[in-house]
Amino acid sequence: MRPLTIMVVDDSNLTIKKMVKMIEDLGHKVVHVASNGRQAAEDYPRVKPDLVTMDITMPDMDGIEATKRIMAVDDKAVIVMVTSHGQEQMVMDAIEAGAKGYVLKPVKVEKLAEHLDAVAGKYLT
Amino acid sequence: MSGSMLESSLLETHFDVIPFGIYVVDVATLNLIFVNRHFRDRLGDLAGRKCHEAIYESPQPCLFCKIRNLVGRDGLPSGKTYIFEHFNDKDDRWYQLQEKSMSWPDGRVVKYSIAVDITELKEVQNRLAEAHAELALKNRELSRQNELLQENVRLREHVDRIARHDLKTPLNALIGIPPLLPDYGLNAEGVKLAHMMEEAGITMLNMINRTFDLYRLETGTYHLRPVEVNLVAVSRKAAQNVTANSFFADRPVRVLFQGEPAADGDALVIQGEELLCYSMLSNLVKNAVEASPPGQEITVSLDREGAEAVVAVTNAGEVPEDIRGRFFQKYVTSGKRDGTGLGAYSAMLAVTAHGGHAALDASRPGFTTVTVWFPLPATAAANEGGEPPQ
Repeated sequence: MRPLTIMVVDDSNLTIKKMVKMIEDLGHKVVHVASNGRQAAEDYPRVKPDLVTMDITMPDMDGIEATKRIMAVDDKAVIVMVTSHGQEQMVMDAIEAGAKGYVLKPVKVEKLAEHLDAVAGKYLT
Repeated sequence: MSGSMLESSLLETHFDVIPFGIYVVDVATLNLIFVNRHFRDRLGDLAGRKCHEAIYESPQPCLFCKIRNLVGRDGLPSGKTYIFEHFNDKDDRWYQLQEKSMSWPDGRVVKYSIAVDITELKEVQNRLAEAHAELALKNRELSRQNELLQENVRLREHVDRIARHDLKTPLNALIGIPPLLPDYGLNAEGVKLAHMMEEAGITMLNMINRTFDLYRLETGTYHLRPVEVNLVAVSRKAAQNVTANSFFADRPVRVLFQGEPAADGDALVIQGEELLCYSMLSNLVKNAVEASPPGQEITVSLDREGAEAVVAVTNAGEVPEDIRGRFFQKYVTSGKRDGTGLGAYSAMLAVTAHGGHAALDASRPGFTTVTVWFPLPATAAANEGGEPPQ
C-alpha cells in the first residue's frame, strides 16, 4: 500500500498524539489535525487528505455531522470513525453519514493498520 | 483533631480499602480533594490539581462531566447517581464510572467518582460492535452494487429495445423487395435466390420479435393471444429443425405420443401461441441435443396427465449438481461453449405465460429430463376423464 496522507480529528490531545505516532510508524503522513468537527469540515477542502480518522464526541460539532458535511463537498471522501461509541445506532448513523470504516478505542497499531489497509484497498486504489 | 478532620479521615480510610479507583472533587473549583490508595498507587497523589487535567490530561472540563447534574439549583447535592462507561485516553482503558455528590465533612459539596476497570469486558463488546459495523458497511456496499446493477439492466433493456427497433427497419427492404424481383427479369435461379433472401429476412424478423417477447415475458407485459396449438405437430417440427443441423446428425431425436412414435394425425391440443410454443420446444430440444453425448438418442414424449398436457424431453448426460437448483434461472449454463443460459429460462417463462409449469428431473442416473406441463382446455380434460365430448 502506498503511503497515505491522513487528517486526524479528535478533541483529545492525548489521542491525537497517539494516532499521529501510530500513523507515522505505519509509514503514512499526518497532514493535518483538527480538534473538533467544525474545524475538520472547514479544513477538509483545503487539505484534501487521502483519508480522515474521525472521533465522534467532540465540542462544537460532532464527528457524524462533520462526516456529513465533508461527504457533501466530496462524495469520495474516505472517513474512518475512530471512537469509543459502540452502540448500534451510533454505528448506523456514522455509516449512513458516509463513514467507510469504524474502529473502536482503544486503538492499537495492529488494529489501525488492519483497518487502514482494508479501507485503502477498497477505496484508494 | 477536629470533628470534621476526623470524619474526613474516616471517609478517606473507607475509600482507601475499596479495591477500585476513587477520587473526590470539589464541584465549585474542580480541584481534587482526595484520591484513594488504588488511584494513588497508579497515578500518584493528585490532590489539589484540577480533575480534568490530572486524570484526563484535558485543559478543559470534560464533555461527559456530570457535575452540573449532581448539584441542585441550591448548590447542594441533588441525590442523583450516574453510572456510565467511559474510555480514558490517558491509559487506554475502559471504566464504568459511578458518580454522586455529597457534603464533605469540611462543608464543601463534592463529587465522588468510583471507577471500575471494565476493559476486558469492553474488548468483547467492541469486537462485536466492530463486526456489526463491518456488516453494515458490507450491506451498504451490496445495496449500492444492486442499485448500479438495476440501473445497468434498465439501461441495457432500453438499448435493446432501440436496437430491436432499429434492426427491424432495414428488414422491410430485405423482406419486401425479393417478391418484386421476378418482375425485373430474374431467371429461375435468381428467383430461387431472391426467395431464400426473403425467407432469411423473415427468419431474422421472427428472431427479433422473439427477443422482444422474452423481454415482455420477463417483465410480465406479454399478452398471450391463444389459439388451438397441436403440441405433437409443434414438437415434431422443432425436433426436425434442430436435427437438420448436420453437427447433431449423430444424435437423433424421437418424438413419442402416448408411448408410440408420433405420426401425422396425432393431436395434443392446448390453447396457446404456436410460435411461442415452437420457440420454447426448440430451445428444450436444442439444449438436450447439445448436452447429449454423440450417438445417444433424445426423446420428446407427449401425453395427457389429468387436466394437463405434458411434454418431457430426455437426454443422456447429467446436469451438474451445483446448477440443478437454479436450472431455470437466467444465464445459468454449463458445458456449452456458446451457451447463453437463456434457453431453459425462456422456456420456463413461455410455459408460465401459458399457465403451465416446468421442472427438471435429474433423479435417473446418467439421464436428464426437462418436463413442461400446459393446462388442457376444459373439453379435452373432460375427455381425458372419460366423459363424452359436448
